[in-house]
Amino acid sequence: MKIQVRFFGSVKDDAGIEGLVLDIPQGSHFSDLKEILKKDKPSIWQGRRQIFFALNQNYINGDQELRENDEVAVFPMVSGGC
Amino acid sequence: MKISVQKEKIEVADTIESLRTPEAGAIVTFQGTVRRFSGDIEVTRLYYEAYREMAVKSIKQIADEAKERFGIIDYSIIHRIGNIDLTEDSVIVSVSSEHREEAFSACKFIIDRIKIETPIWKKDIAVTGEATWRD
Repeated sequence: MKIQVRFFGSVKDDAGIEGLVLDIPQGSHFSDLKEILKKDKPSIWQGRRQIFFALNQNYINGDQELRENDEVAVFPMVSGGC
Repeated sequence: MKISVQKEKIEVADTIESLRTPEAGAIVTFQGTVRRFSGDIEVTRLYYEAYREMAVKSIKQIADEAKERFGIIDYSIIHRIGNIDLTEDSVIVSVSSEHREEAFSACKFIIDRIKIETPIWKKDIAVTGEATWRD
C-alpha cells in the first residue's frame, strides 16, 4: 500500500526533499514506517532532540495501523505564533 | 468563526470588526508582531512555514475548546506564512464575549496553545543574511 510522507521545517531541509511515497506491506504500523525512515533518511534524526509525527493531520497516537493513501508528516518542534 | 493560515497581510481592523455583535460586550485581540531581536540575533524578517491543512485543523480544535471552556461568542484567528517584515503581524487572535474576563482568558488560552501545538515553524533571517530555523 502507498503512504504519502511529508517533511516540514528544518526536517525538510535535513531530508533534502519535501516528501516521498513509500510502498509498504498491507497491515504495516506506524513503527514499521518509522524504521524505514530511520534507514532511508537518517539525517533527519541527527542532532535533533525531538521529532514529531502526524497521521492524516493529527498527532500520532501510539503505534497506529496505517492504511492505503494515509499521509504521515514528519516535523520538528513547532515554533509558530510570535 | 474565522480561521486562516495565509500569505496575505492581516487586515486587523476587518478582523476585529467582524466580531462586533449586539450580544458581545467585549472584544479582546492579541497581535503577534515581528521584533528586531531573536535572542542575540538581529533579524530583518521572519519566514514562516505551515503544514497548512493540519494547522487550520489544530487552530479550530483549540478555538472550539476555548469556546466550550470560556463561553465566548465568536473568534477570528489568522496566522501568516512566508516572509514577514519587522513590525508586521505574524498572528492575530481576536475573541468576543459577553464580558471581558472570558475574552481575555480565551485569547491567552488560544495563543498559548497555538504556540505549542499548531504545526507552524519560523526561521530567523538575520541582518547578516544567515537563515536559522527556530526549533
